[in-house]
Amino acid sequence: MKIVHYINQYFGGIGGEEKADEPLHFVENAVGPARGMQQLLGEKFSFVTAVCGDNYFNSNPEAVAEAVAAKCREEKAVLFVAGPAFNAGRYGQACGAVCAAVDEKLGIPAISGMYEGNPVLETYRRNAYIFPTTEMAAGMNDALKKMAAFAVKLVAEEPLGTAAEEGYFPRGVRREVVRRENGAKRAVDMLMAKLNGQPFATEIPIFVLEKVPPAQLKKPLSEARVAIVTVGGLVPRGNPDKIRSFGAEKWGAYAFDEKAPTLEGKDYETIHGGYNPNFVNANPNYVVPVNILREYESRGTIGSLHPVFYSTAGVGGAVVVCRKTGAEIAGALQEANVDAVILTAT
Amino acid sequence: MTTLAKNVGANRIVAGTKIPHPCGDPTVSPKRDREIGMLLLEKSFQLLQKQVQTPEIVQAV
Repeated sequence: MKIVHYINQYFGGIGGEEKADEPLHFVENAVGPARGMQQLLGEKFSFVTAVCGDNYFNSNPEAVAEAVAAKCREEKAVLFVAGPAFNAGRYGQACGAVCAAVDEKLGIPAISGMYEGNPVLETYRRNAYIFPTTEMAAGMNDALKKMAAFAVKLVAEEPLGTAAEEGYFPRGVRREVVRRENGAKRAVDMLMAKLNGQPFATEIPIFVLEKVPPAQLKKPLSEARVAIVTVGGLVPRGNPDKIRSFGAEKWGAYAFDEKAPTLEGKDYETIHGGYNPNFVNANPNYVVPVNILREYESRGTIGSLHPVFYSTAGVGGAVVVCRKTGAEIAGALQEANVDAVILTAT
Repeated sequence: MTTLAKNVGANRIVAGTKIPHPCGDPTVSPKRDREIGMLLLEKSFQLLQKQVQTPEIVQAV
């Protein structure tokens, strides 16, 4: 029985960030984590590994998803596996998207693994059986064990329990069951437990995906003060505020000359741990586009470019920390009478 | 990563060139590189001035 397993350039042993543009290619046996899966699943299964650079996927998402689905069709795959991606943003996005493509186009069951805080989990948990993993790849063996055990059940078409029983993140599928006690009793029991500080299990977990009502410009753009905010981690060389490369909890406000036509590579660097820093280190304007905004300022398209940019590193940021950072930066922007923001993300 | 931006609450999204250099392209001529940056910001300004009601994602180039 054939399994197609999608992994990125790093787990494919090709290289790190510098190889993130590696195009999609297929290997006719199990590579990296796929080999781990193979060892757990045994000889009944043979593997095709799909290896793709994280940047390549995110620049060509439809083409890669289509090609991976086509390969599954060609190989008559009984199962599709992706990752596990742990807390990686780009890799998680790729794994989620290819699982969704295989599920939608071919109806082949897809298994993956992600950390509960992975920002793309909510987008894709309905399209695949995604198992909880640790934040970092140190948890690879445990992740593969969970994924493999479930793979066996899926392929054997064994009856499956609830998401909680099987261990994957809920997919939003509801099946009717008859409860022993009526709803009124269950609700009161839950309330009593909650009031007494005892554990209880909600029957309807609310996943909060934030819908932010759009702000609208309050004056013509030609009169607006525009500021740049970035999560690309650009800081003055030397990182004076010691902002962390992963899971940053601090942000910095960095003033630049009001007359400066551009930002110079010699004065800035990026400390963001999640992308190839070479381009931004040579030319900071790629992530804090002072040069472009200065041009529009001189043309009168915008009122003025605020001579301070606000920066943190976005990679590995817990949602609750990002909310706090965002609120604090918003406060600083309001104090500075900024009317509009260009926020760059990497 | 624009889908992710939309899902976490961003309302005006312009797709950047590429993750390591969202506001330009170091692999093309300096003139084209700057042109790309100008186009991205132009699209951004259009979105800023628009009364959006639901999240919008646009391609600049």
